Amino acid sequence: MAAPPELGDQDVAGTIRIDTRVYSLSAIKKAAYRFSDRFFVAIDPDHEPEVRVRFSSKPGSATDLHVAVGEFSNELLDQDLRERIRGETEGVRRLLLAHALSRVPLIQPELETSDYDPEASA
Amino acid sequence: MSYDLLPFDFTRIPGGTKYLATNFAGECCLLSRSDLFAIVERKVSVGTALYATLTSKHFITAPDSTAAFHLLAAKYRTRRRYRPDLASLHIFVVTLRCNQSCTYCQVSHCSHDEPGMDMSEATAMGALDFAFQCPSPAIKIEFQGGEPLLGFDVVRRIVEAAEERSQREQRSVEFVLCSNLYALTQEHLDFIARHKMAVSTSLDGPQPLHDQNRIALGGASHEHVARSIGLARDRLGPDQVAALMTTTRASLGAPEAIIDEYIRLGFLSIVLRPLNPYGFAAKQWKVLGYATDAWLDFYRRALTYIVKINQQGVPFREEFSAFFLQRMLTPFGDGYVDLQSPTGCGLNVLVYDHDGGIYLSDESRMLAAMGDQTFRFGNVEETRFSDFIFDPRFLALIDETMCEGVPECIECACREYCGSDPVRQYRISGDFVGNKAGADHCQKVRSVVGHLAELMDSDSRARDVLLSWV
Repeated sequence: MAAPPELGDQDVAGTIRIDTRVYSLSAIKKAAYRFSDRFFVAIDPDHEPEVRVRFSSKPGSATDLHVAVGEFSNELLDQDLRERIRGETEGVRRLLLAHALSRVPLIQPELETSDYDPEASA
Repeated sequence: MSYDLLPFDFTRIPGGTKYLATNFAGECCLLSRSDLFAIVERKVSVGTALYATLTSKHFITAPDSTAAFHLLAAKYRTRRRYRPDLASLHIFVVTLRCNQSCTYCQVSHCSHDEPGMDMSEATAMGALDFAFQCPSPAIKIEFQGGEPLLGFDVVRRIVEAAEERSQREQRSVEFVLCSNLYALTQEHLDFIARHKMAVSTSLDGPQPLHDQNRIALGGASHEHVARSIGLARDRLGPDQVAALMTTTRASLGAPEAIIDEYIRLGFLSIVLRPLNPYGFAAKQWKVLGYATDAWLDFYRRALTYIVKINQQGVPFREEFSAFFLQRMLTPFGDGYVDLQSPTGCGLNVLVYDHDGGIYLSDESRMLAAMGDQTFRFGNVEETRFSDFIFDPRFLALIDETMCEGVPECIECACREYCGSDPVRQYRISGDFVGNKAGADHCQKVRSVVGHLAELMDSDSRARDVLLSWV
């Protein structure tokens, strides 16, 4: 889970502590990326099992830090759900793409035609 | 367990609470946040409308069924089929001279009598030879400028040579003249009609708005274009004359008047095209430009009006929406250059400048006119198509513009409807990818797709209209 943020620097910077037993580092990074237009985001992993994410407002950014922290928490949930879907369907996704492209000669077209004779080319 | 999950992505629609969910065959659903969690936690009951929608669109499947698997694969293959038609659109800039001085001109044209700004016959034939080195069985040649009617002799020469060559090589060729029609004569029309050329012109709206944006040397630019549209339509047929609208800041408050003007002049559709930051438009951005939110408000208001007009019995399409609807509702690919993955620049379109320079898109040439040659790939007199297509700079561009490998795009539900515009991105951020967080491009695509999905979901009469455009 994400602990309440510690705000400071007159609310232009704040740190969120996230339990990595709940959210993966990958989900945390992807969620953080979505705020990189409005904030400088630093991820500090040296506090196991916590990860600390520090947000600092970029000059000219009008986004309220408290709102951003709330959005970040929701974004973590979404990223976690995406990971669950991807994890559960990764095998099917790969198989589907392989099946869909199986009729396309991608690597050596001359070896993938129906009249290819392996003995003749040996 | 009542069903298996199939791969899908989801994205929250900007400014709303609903999520757009799509799979890689491009099927889409509008879902609430609770729907999303219910799907993953296997809480969607058989027999509910949601279960039926998710099954029919291949987001979930019965555990023992392979039907969804085969259908998804077939739809994915169909969607990707368009790519083999490599470089089918070839834009010839036959002159940089122009008889108008539009406030937003994106090509930084020169005056109508400036010497040395026309494409020579040798360059034209070199460009044509380059175009026919492309493998596409169907070639479309588009004449642009400047104003191509001011360089019509070379247009004639290219059309005749292209027809002769296409016949010899058993390939189809078609032509589009992109002109302001200010200098259109009967002699031009005779040639255009004889060679079955299509005409694309510019119409920004009613007379005051059009004349404010598109300043003709002799004045009365709207009066001329309205008259020429009538002449061309009478001679060539109604479906051979199209118009493009550019949205400036002055357009934002008048979508209804702009649409009314299109209908008054006999058009059956409009493209609500935003302003691009090139050429004079870039220099004049403080006067002409606007934020993406402002264009989105304009777009939604215009679309509401167009839907209402259709419901009153006047068939009229908005082409930007129709393009997205086709991608959302069918598995068929398209050649829309601006939104392809990898980029359509160079893969779908090539541009030959008046001096023989080869560019990846019209915007690349505009950038070069502003002093940046990043997207220039040689000259028609020296460069072969094979040199271009294997140029490491071009291969790197393809690599960086595949949405399937771009941060954020990789998980975006609009990925199947979207694409990269590396030239615009380069203009904004100096690279071909950029930071997708808060990107205007993403906001625009997600908002338009989300708006269309919400309209179809919430308003059955609007849905009927939108479906009629596909």
